[in-house]
Amino acid sequence: MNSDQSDLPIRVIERSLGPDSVINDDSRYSVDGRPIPVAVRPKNIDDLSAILTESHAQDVKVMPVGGGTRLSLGNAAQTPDIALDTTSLNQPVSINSADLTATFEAGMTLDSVQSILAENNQFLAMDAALSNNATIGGILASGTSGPLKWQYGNPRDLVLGMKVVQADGSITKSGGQVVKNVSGYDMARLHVGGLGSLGVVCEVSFKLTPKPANEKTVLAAFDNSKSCGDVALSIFNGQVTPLALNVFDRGVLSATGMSNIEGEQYLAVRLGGRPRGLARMVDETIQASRAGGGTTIEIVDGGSALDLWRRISDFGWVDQPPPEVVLRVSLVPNQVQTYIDAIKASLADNAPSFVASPGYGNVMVFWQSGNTNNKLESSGNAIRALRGGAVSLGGSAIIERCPVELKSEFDVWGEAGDSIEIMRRMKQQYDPKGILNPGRFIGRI
Amino acid sequence: MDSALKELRQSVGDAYVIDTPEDLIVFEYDGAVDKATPLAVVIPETAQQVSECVKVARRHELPIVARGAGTGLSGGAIAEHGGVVIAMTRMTKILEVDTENRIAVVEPGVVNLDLSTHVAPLGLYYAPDPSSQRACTIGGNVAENSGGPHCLAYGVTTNHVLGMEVVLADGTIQWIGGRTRESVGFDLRGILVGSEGTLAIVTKVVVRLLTKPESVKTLLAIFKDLDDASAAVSGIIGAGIVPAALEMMDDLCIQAAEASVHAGYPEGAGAVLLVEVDGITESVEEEVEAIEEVCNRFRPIEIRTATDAEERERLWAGRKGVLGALGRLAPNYLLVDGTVPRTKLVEVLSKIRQMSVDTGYPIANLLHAGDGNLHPSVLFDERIPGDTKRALEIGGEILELCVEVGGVLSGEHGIGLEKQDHMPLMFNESDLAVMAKLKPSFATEDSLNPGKVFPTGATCGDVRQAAAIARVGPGAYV
Repeated sequence: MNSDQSDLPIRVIERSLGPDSVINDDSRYSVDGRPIPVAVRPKNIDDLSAILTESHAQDVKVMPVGGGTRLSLGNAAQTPDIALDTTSLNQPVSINSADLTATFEAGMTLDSVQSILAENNQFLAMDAALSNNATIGGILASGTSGPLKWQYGNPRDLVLGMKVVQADGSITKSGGQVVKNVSGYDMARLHVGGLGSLGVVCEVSFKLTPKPANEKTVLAAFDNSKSCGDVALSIFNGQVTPLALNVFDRGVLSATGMSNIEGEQYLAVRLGGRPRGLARMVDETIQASRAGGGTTIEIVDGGSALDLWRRISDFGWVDQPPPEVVLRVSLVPNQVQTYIDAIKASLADNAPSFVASPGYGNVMVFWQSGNTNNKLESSGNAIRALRGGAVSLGGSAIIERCPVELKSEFDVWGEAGDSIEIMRRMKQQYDPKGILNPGRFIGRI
Repeated sequence: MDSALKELRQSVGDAYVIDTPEDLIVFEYDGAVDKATPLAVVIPETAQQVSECVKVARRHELPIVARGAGTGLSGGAIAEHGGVVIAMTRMTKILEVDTENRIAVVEPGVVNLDLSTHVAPLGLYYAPDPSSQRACTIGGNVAENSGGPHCLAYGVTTNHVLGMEVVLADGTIQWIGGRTRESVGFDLRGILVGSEGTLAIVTKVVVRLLTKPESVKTLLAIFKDLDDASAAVSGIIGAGIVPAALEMMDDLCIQAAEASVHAGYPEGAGAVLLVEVDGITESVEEEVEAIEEVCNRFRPIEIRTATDAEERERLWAGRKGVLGALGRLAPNYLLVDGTVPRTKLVEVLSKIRQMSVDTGYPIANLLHAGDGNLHPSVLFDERIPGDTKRALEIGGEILELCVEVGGVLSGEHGIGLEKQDHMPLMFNESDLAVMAKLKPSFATEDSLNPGKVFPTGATCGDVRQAAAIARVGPGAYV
């Protein structure tokens, strides 16, 4: 699009859906601090397809957006011409509770999905920050996951099938609505964690999970972080099967509202099951924590436990102002505590907060620059230390958030190695004109 | 061709290139399909040798087919267009077991069960357990995204593979994914698992291992018919239980199993349900109690439970031996692999029974009931002219029925050659075109396992009569 065609995005929307569909100058639509002047919120998949068909024809750049909770993720790139808001695609398509499957439009928030499924005592075994706003399409596209990944894996493992609008506007599907299926390539994989750069996710079929009959959470404080990490790893390698297990620092504990417990590092273990099995798992977790050097050990249940887990999941995303630097780190399980201790040492003057899922090998790191004269420089140094620490332990780190000014210094996604060539060809195949989130994904593709 | 063979010999050594017709015969088949003869079979020992063989084949414009144990049930390992078969028979090393991180690094030719056996003393196992696990290889499992009776609770291969070393179509050796649960960029690992050898050749696999559960309990419930058994399945799921395995067999299977392995099923048994629960002892006990309660609601003829390994094996014997046992009922069977929503099982099974009545062909039903994966087996005799064609038609009608009720063509066997021409039942041209773009993304130039997965445009019955017809015998698995 040339600069003398500044009204082209508006014409694209007018031509595909009529003038009433143009949303002008809505401050909700921005990326990296730059407003996206034109937005559209299609009411159904056909309308979304019409927008992309026309955008593709006119070479207009489009940024798909759900609840807008993770827009900080992505490389700095040219400002998109149109924000394509999916939140009106917000209806359940089919709920098959007896089959443990359901299909939803991608603009539904995770909370609204969960409240529908709760009627049948079931749930979608994923969680995410700001789940009252975060849409399932957005969560999948950004590849994020919450505490439940300990037991249920990445949300991608719950996806059975998908309907996607391709960059050229064609509507395609893959997978199915059954829990076991090897019919054709597993195309949904391209879109989970793909940041909407190869297509726009419109409908998702999921595997559902029965809610555990009962739940209890064990919360333990440790004076020594390594002891805490060892207990987490011993649970990972034992018979107890938590729904979620996180270790975190004092800052996170404060945010959960349980700040009265003294300690250096904390362990929260979410357990579920029928009464006798649950009781045994709670006992074993308490014993392991005590034997491993846990000082204060508490059992949290009911609404307090749900609140605790929501606050852990939301940590770093609800604070005002939010932490300037957020990293999503992947490691093998037994390097998680090593990493935590290393970054605390290397950033001793201003240690980050963290929420880690050791058995899964994930650490979310949150860092604030604090009182310094040169916030940008210190943020840059912190990012290098945090990412360098992960890479030196054989892991990787995605920069989920950082000062916009620093984005040009990093590929926020990290290093894809030789695979980047395949990824570039994928972009070429699926979005040859580069209209979907151009420049924002790995390798600035 | 002679120069290609010469270069292949240089790549892997004279002893590891097979090209005489009598030696190639064993590579003409896989688990259940028609036959095709490759130009040569090479048996490399390293990724480097695989890479060299791929480069030689490419230079000579020969198709390349990777092959594990050849137990596949959809023709995935057949050299449909000739060319070079790369057999993984020598790449059978378990390279590393990392107990603390519960990771193993293996070569693609490692037999599935051998991995679990190898790590058993460490209290670990590899979860995906296709019924052919005594023979099938991890590399083949990756290609087909194999499942197994226990995937209901623990997922299929894609949920257990962290990374792979692969050889791409141009011979480049590359790592996809790694040792961590997450890797950066597009999920190429997830794309490659289940891509049926059409995008890359796997030369190392990093898999997750699970901790062996302290308690396993198996329950066998015998019902008078499939309706009661199916109702029990719904009841179990409705009670919030996702068992480790949930298997079902109908009366024909029961007769066959009874005659061959003497499982001791009582008179009048119309359906057998096999349920396995694992985990910590207390949870297992509670779940088994709940399952018994559900089963008792549906007039079971008998319920048996087993806790120790030997008793469990006895309960499983009928189920595991059933496919081989079908040989007692007919010389051939056509095995179908559709999956339907669990709630459609009763409807679909009753329609299949009606098909059997209408056509006169017996159809035995064994199914992974928990996940709705059906294995109707159409019994026939290939020696009778027209019988094979008719059986294939019935198989096609069953697949149509599965898709019609919201199901899919293949739950665990893959599309391969067998079901490629049924793909349009599920996917339209745009869907297939989008899938097909993965080939140029991996720059395969269609040299890897060509002619699979995607429809040929012809009707299946005409193209390959013999496709999908299992040769009956104890070596057959599902």
